Amino acid sequence: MEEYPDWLSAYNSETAEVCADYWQATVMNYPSPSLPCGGPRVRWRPQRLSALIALCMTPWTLSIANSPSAAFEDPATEAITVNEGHLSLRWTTGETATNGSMTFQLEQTLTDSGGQTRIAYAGSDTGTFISGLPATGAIFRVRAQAENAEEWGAWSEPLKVSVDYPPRWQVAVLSTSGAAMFLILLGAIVYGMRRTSRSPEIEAA
Amino acid sequence: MGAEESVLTPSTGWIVLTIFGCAWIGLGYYWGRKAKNLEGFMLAGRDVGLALGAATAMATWVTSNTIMLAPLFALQMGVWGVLAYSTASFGLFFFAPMARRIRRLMPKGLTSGDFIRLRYGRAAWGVFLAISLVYSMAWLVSMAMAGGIVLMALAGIPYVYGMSVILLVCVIYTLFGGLYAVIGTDFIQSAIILLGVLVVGVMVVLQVDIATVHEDIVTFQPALLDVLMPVALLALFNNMFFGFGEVFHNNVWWSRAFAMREGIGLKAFSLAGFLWLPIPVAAGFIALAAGSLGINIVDPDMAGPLVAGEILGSAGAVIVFIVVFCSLGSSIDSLLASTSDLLAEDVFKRLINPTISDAQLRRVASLLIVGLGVVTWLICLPRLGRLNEVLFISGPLVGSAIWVVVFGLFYRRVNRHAALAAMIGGSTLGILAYYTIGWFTASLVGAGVSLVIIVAGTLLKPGEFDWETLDEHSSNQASESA
Amino acid sequence: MILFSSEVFSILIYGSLILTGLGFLTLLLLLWRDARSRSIW
Repeated sequence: MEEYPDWLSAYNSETAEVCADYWQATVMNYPSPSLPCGGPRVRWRPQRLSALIALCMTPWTLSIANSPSAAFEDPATEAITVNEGHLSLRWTTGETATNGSMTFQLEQTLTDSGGQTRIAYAGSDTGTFISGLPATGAIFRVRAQAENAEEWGAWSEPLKVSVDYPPRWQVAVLSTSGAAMFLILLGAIVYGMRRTSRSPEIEAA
Repeated sequence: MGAEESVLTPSTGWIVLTIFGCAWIGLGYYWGRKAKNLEGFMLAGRDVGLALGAATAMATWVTSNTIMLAPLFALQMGVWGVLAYSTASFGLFFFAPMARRIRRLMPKGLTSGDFIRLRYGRAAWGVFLAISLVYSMAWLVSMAMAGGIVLMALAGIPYVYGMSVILLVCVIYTLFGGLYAVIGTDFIQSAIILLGVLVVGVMVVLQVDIATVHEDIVTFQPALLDVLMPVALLALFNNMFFGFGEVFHNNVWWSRAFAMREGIGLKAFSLAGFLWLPIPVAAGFIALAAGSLGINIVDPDMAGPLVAGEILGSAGAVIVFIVVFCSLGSSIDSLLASTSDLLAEDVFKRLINPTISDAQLRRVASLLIVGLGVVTWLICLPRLGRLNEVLFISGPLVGSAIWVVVFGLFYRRVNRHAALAAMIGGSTLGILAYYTIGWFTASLVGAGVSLVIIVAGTLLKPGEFDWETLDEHSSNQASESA
Repeated sequence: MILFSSEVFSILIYGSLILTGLGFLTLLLLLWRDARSRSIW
């Protein structure tokens, strides 16, 4: 049997198979490529049906902790452009956690030629501050895992962050004129200092 | 730790505030007894030595912004973010030779206004006073507001209480002790600031290797290590000239130049520059180490205290709180003292009542300290966010005064009309640049326009100033009745 | 993008801490010296 939640194996194998199909068909109805069960179709044979009825009548004492899918709250959009290479990210699962705290994973993928990926944050906070993004930007995804759950929830829609740094010519113009004035100031003070240091009365030309 | 919780409890915050507040007030009263006359009150007897001189210049220039913004800039702009901040120390370095010159030219001078009035005449003096008062009030208000906000963020103390307590404590000990109290407490505050920044920084490097920090940010946060980080470089010289303008024109620094013993000024301000220089880097880098330390930053404004708190526990948070409180106190007390001096000497005495005696003038200055405190408190009460914009707009204003002061001190030929036009032209076009091009050009434009005007005006019609005129006391002695 | 190397990065940070420490000690030393010659203020 492929990897199904542990509690399923408490049932006999046939019931477990039905339950597993039922699980896949109804409960795990998110498009989740990471789920192992590509899944046989449910075939409604009488045994399966009775097992299904038994399942449905079983007091549902075991709480199935599903991991909900997470989504970005701020910014709540598909793509964003920032001017300085930094932004605050906030995410939510869109439902209040009833089974203890959620843990999250924030994945960051660079969109330059390297395309490297890392987990930028892992923990129970619902936000983080991202900075130092290269001009090529990055793509972020977030997912949640409920406390009692075995599996992670689905990844959120990817958030593409682009960076629009100030143009180099602007920086060059301001830096050059600033540096020039800086040198003039330095020169004026040093020159004035030299000429007047002999005595307060003697000054520059 | 949730984002909404403060790093300290309110009771801890109040305890620290009470201890230090009482200490400053007690010391202010004790040292205030040295102030026997006006010169004692306003200028600490004109005999401040190197240790106190360097400490007061450094501490006054370290504000709560230095401690709280350095980590933020490190996070947002990386290495160049904090390096650019460090260049604010250049204002102290460049003022050093000017401090020596000021003391020599005006051994009995009281304020920056005295210099401008004697050097350039009443019209330029009026404009200069206006610029100085706008900037001084903006700085004072922004400090008091920042104090209230930071105390609330660090210890959960309500904004109005925190802001009021800081102002009240500073007003009281400045009132009791004048510049003696201000400079004396500045020394203690500077020592605490340096030690606090050092302890937190050292604890961080003991927990994580700096090479590891570099490794952790180089791939996914490369802009923080960019040698040509555009955001930081864009504003580098603009902010530097804002800093030059702030230091060169303001009576906070001129009163220190007058207060220091002969021969001390150059060394004290140079040393202050070296003391200030490493602080933005030392205070800021801890935010870059957060990731390597496993600390998640949700609110970048609180990055510094957050990392300190995680590394050192509540001791770290208390250290940051104390350092911030000291940096606020050391700036607010100086502003209260020097601005009241400026108003007393330049407005009350020179404009309103020239025959006022020294004893009466001291009383006026005292009243003005209280008055400034009250006005600042009233302005800060509604916590208007846009007030900070007034401080930013004062950039071109003070920038336009740079050359007026520098050339005026060293070059005989600068004429009064050129100086007046330079301040007006630089201020106007600088403010225009602020709104049309961007904040990161305003001070540069203000200073640049002012430079062109003052040089052109001087070349067209050179003046011929007699330096003796500045030594008002002795040049007037013959003609003045006692 | 040219990046600050690990060595430069380390020098800046350790250097700033060393300077801060030296500054603190310098202030204390100067105060002691001024106190000895009774020229604090």
